[in-house]
Amino acid sequence: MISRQLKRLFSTALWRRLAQGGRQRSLVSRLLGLLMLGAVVVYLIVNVGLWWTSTRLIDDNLEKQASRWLAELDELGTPLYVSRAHKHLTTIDYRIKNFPEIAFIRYYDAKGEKVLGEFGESSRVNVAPLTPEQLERLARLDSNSEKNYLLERVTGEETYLRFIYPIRVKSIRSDGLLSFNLESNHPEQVRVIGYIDLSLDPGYYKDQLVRSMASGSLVIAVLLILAMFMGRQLILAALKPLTDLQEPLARLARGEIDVKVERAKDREIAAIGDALNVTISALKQRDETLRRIAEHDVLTGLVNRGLFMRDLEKEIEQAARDGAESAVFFIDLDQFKYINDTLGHAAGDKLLVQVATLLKSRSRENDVVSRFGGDEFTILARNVSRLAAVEMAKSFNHIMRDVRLVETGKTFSVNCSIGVAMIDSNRFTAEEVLSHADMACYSAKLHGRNRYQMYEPGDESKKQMVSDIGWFELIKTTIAQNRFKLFYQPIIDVVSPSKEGYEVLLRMPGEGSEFIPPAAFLPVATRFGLMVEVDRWVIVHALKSLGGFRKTGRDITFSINLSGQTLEDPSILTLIKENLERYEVPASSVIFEITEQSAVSHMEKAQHLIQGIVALGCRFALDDFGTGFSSFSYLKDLPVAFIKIDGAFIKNMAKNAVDETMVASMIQIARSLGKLTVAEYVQDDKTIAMLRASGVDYLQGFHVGMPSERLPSVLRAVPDKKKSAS
Amino acid sequence: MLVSCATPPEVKTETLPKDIAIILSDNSPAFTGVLHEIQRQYKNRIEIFNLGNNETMHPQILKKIQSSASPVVVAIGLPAAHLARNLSGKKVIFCQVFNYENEGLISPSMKGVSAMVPVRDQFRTWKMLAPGLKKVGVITGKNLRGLMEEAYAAASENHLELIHVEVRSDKETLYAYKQLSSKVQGLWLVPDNRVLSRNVIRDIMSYSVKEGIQVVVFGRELLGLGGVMSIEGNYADMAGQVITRVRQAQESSGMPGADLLPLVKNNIRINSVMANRLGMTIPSEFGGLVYAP
Repeated sequence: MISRQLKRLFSTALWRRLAQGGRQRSLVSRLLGLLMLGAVVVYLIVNVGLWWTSTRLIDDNLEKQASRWLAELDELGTPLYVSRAHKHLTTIDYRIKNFPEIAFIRYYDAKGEKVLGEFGESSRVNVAPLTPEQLERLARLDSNSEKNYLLERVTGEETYLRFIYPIRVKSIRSDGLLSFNLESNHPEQVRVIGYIDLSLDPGYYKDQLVRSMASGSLVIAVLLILAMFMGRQLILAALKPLTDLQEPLARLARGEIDVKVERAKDREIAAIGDALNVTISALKQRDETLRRIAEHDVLTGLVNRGLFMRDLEKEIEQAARDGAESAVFFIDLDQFKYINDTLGHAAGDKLLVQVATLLKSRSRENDVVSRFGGDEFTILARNVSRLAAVEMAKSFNHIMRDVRLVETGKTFSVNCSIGVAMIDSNRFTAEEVLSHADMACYSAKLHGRNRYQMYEPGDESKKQMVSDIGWFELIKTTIAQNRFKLFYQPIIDVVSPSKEGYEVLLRMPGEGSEFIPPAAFLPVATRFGLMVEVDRWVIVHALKSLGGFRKTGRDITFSINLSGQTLEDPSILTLIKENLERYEVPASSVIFEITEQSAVSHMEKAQHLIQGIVALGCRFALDDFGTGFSSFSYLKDLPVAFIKIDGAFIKNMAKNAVDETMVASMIQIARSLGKLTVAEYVQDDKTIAMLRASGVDYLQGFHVGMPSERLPSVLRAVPDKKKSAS
Repeated sequence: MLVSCATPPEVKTETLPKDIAIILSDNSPAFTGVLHEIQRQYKNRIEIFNLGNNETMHPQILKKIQSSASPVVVAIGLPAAHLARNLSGKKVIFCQVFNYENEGLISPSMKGVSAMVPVRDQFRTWKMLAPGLKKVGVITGKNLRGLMEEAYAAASENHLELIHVEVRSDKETLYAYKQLSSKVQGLWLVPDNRVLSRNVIRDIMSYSVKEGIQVVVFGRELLGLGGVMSIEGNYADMAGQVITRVRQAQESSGMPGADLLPLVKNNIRINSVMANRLGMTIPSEFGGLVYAP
C-alpha cells in the first residue's frame, strides 16, 4: 500500500521520465551537443574568415610584390632600351624562374605597340597588347605616386592580375646640377620610354592557400576536438553535482524513500539537494502516517485486523521456535448493538474508544491490542501461561463491568464475552487460532454472555464451533459448485396487478429434495465474512435469470437483497454494471434491497456505492423498515425508492390497532417523501384491504404468492377494495 | 696649397667701362650667386633681364635686350644662353652652362666661361688624396667631346685610366654604372643633367658606398650621400672671368680668346668619414678642406 501511495505520488511525467532515465536525452548530452554545434560553427567561421582574409591578403601581397617586381623589372629591363644586344636579359629569365606566380612579363616600346621583350610562360596566355584606352590611363598616372601602374584583373580560363607600368626616365632641368639640391622641389623632366606588362597568377597562391587551409583546418579541427574533449570533461565535472542527484532521484522514483542526498558544494545544487532531503523527510513522515492509517483503527488508534494477523503469524512462528506460550483473546461487547441503536453512532463510538483505552491500559507493553471489527477486539498476550491467560480474561471481564457510559442523563453498562485460544506451537495457522478464539467467544455468548471461555477442543461448545465451521465450508463449497438455488416471491403492484415483480430469495440445497432456509446459513456466512461472495453469486445468477425471463417478452422486475458487508465492497458496482450489460437487463428492472440496519450501520461507506448503483439506473428498497430506532431520520438521506415495511407490523395489523396505525403512519410518511411502500408478510385478504385503504403500493407475502423456483405463469389476483371490505 | 688662389685679373682702368645687359635664367642660387658677384665687381651700369619661368615673355625680353644700348650681353644659365643666341649685333658671354657643346652655343659672337673647375685640377687633387687610384669611370650624355678630351688628358697626366660611358637617360646611367662598377675604383660624377635624376644620383651614391667605390662629386651636398670629395667652382671667380671676357669683348671688334674661359679657383671639400671608411689617409695639406657631413 505504501509503495502504491509512493508510486502515485511519483507518477507525474517528470518522475516517470526520471525513472525511465535512459530513454531521455541527458543534460550532459545536450550541453555536449551544443558545445559540438558551437565548435562546428566556430570551425566554419574560422575557415570562412581565414579564407576571406587570406584571399585578401594574397591579393594585397601580390600587389605589393608586384610593385617590387616592377621596380626590379624596370632595372632588369634597361638593356632593352639601351642597346640591341640583349645579352643581359637572360638575367630576367633566371630571376623569375623560381617564381611560378609570374605568368608573363612583356616590355613594350614607348608607344606601347611593339613588344621589345617577352618572358615567362606568356605563350600560353592570350592577353591583348596595350590598348589606346590603357595608354591614355597610363599617361594620366602620377609618376611620383606610390601606385604608378595600372592594375587589371584578366579573367579567362585562368585569372591573372595584370600590372602595366610605364618605364620612365628622368632628368634634372638644364644646369640644375650646378646648384644641386636633393631636397629641391624643382620638378624633374620625365619621359616614358616603354611599358612593363607584368601578369601574376593568383591561382598559384590560391592553390597554396587551399593546401595550407586544408592542413590548417585539420589542425584547427584537431584543436577543436581537443577543446571539445576538454570541454566535455569540464562539463562533466561541472555537472557532476547535478548528475550525482540522478541516482538518488531514480531510487526515489522507484518508491524507495530510504535515500539520502549528499550535500553538494555548489550553492544552487546544494539547495536542490536540501529540498530533496526535505521532500524525502516529508515522504517518510507521510509513509509513516499512511502506515499508521493502514495498520491502525482510525477511531480507537488500536492496530487493525491486518497488522494483528501479521503479528499473530510472527508469534506462532516464534512459539514454534522457542516453545513459549502466548494467548489470543477475542472480545465481543455484549450490548453494543443495543447502545448503538439506542443512543446513536456517536455514543457507540465513544463506548468503543472507552473500551479500547481500558483494554490498552490493562495490557502489557509488548501485547498487541486490536479493534478487530465492529464491537470486536482481539488481544495477543505474549509469553503467558494458560493460567495467566485465564486470569487476564477474568480481569478483562471484571474491568468491563466497571465501564459506564453516561448519555442523555442515562447510565449504560457494558459487558463482554471473551474467547481465549492458546498458542504453544505452529500446529495451527493464525486464522485457525483466531477462529478458535472466536468460537470460544461464541461459546461464551451461548453460555450467557459476560464471561470468558477457553478454547477446549472436544467439549460441547466445540461441537457448535465445528458445526459453524462445517457451515462455513458448506457455504464455500456451494458457491464454488454453483449449487445455490434462487426462488422468486411475487410482489404485487396494487394499482397494476399485471406488472410482474419478484423478490429473489436464496436457498441452499439440503439432503434429498429439501432446501435449507437462509436463516440457517446466512448468520454463519455473515460471521465468517462470506456475505460478499454470497451476494456476488446471487447478483450474477439473478441478473442472468432476469435476462432470460425478459427475453421471453415478460416485463419483470427483480428485487435482490444486498448485505451490509457487500455495501462496503466497491467492486460490486462494476459487477452489477458488467452483468446488466452482459445479460441485457435494463437497470430500471432491478431493485436492490438493503435492510434498514445495514443501511444505517454502513451509512458512510455505503453511500458512495448506493449512489453509483442508482446512477446506473437501478433502484433501492429499504427492507425491514420500522425495526430500527432512527429510521425516519435516515430515510430522507438514503436514495431509496421503496420502503418495505417490516412484516412484524403487517402480520398483526388486522388484530392490533397500534400496528395498523404505525403501518398507516409509515405509509403516509413514505408517500410524503415520494417513496413507494411494500407491505411484507401479507397473510390474508383483510390485511390486504387495510393496506389498500392505507395507500400501500405493493404487497408481498405467502397470501399473495409463495416463493417458488419457477415463476408463476399467472399472478394471483388481488381482491379489490369492495370485495375486501365485505 | 693645391687649391687655386689666383686672384681675378685686374680690370684695366684705361678702358672705359660700358653698360652691360645680363640675362638671368631664373633665381637659382647658381645663377644669382654669379649675378651678385658680377654686380659687386663690375662698376658700370648693369641692365638685368630675368627670364623666370614664363617662356611667353621671352620674345618681349629679347626685343628689349635687342633694343638696349649695351653691346655686350652676359647670359647666366642655359635658358638665358638659348635666348641670347638669337640676338643680333650683340656680343654674348655665357656662363653656368655645362653642356654648351651639345647646345651649339659657341659662335664668333658668343663665347663662354666654364661652369666646371678644370679637370686637371680635379684629378690631381683626387690622386693626391688616393694615390693608389688607377681606374676612374665617368658617365655622361652625348656631345661632351671637349670636356672628355680635357678629361682624358688630365687622367693621363695623373696616371689614371679613364673609362667614359655615354648614356641617354638616368635609367641607363644607373645601369651603366652597375656594369662599370666592377672595372673602376672611382667614379667621377659630372653634372650632366640630361642623364641624371635625383633618384639615380641617390642610387649611384648608395651603390658606391655599398661597393666601396670612391665618388668625386660636383656639389658639397652629395658628400652627405657618400661622396668622398667635392669640387665646385667659385662664384666670384666665375664673375671675374665673365668680366674679363666682357672687357675683352668691349675692347675688340669680335670675341677674342678661347671658346671657353676656364675657372681659376675652386672650392674643395673632403668627406673625412668616407675617406676613413675607404681607408684613405688625408694628407696634412688638406687639413683645412676636411668636411664631416
